[in-house]
Amino acid sequence: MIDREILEEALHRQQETIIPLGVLAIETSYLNREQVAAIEETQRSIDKMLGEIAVERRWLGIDQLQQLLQTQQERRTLLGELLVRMGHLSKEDLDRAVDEYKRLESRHAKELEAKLSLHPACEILRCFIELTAKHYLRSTCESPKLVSVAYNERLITEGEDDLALQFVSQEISGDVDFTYGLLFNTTMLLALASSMLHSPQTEIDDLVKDVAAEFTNMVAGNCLARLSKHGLRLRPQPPKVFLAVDHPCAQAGCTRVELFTRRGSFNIVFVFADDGSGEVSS
Amino acid sequence: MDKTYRVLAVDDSAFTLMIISTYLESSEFEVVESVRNGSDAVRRFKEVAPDLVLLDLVMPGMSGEETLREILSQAPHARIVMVSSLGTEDAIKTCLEAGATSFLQKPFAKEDLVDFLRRIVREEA
Repeated sequence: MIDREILEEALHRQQETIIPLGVLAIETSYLNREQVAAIEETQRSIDKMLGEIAVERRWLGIDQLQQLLQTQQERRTLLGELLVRMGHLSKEDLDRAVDEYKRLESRHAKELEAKLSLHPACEILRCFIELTAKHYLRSTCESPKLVSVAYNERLITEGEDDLALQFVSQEISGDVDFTYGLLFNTTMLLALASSMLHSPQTEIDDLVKDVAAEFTNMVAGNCLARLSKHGLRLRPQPPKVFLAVDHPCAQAGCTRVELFTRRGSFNIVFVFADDGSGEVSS
Repeated sequence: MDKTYRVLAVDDSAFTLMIISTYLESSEFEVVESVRNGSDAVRRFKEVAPDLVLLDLVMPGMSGEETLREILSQAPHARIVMVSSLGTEDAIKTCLEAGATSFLQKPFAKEDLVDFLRRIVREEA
């Protein structure tokens, strides 16, 4: 039986096995020792992560940072291995559990991709999902994980605290008319704003809302630029921040895409004028 | 660092204005005025007479493109750099044809912004 105390101990030991990003960056020759030392020196005076500073200085590309973070995850000692070493789990049980996990993960990824492909505007969805994740990575040094795609949803689903949900939305018009937005709970919104402002934010004030709006605006602008290369002519309106319950689309059918991060989840939401999501069976 | 160039920054996002000011802090560019909409930009341009304007494209009310045309109708030689995440070919072409000096796509790093502005003032020198 693995109780909370054992799990906490294993998690603590796991933290110690994580290879620092600077070490990995030198190992892969993405950065040299002098660059890592310069970043560490900078980190003494500002609260920024190594990856973030390296990207700002154009020493690392976003794709390289993404790759380093993935390698960091892959090379840490798995929790299961630590539980085996600590004698709380047998090697056979661990192998079985890992195989089962990999099988489920792979099936889940295929199901999500198949589900996305059902949408009439799947290329638009894919572009916004990819660039939302990239901008999140750029802002927080964490790559969010796509966990679910749901059609014909409401903006606020049952069980959610609707007064704690902020919806940052942007109207897009042109060849296709739709609303793109990000749905955050208070914790997630404050976490994103704290990362982007490099200072802890404790309440949702105008500046925090402004940061969220600008984040959304950057994703939308960059997506429309990319989609224009494929012949789609789309124009954005300036983003607006709503209490989700007050948004004009609060009762409309929408597509919700959930991204998971260490700090919690947030949703990308799409509402199509002719409600494309309505044509998709969940 | 001598502040050689005076900049008027225009963006509806307070966060972006903060970023621009911070990024230019230790350069030869100084943000002498930050405004959050097009009509304030037109008014303050006359009063401040900046060397450069950094102008957002997508803003509520008077758009960046309208603001660009309005400023240029009063000061045809104004150096106006459009700053936007919306880097579509259409948007860039429209702004450059309307008389914008250049177009910088967001997001940008500190070095991107400073290098970009240096190239502009060097080319126009």
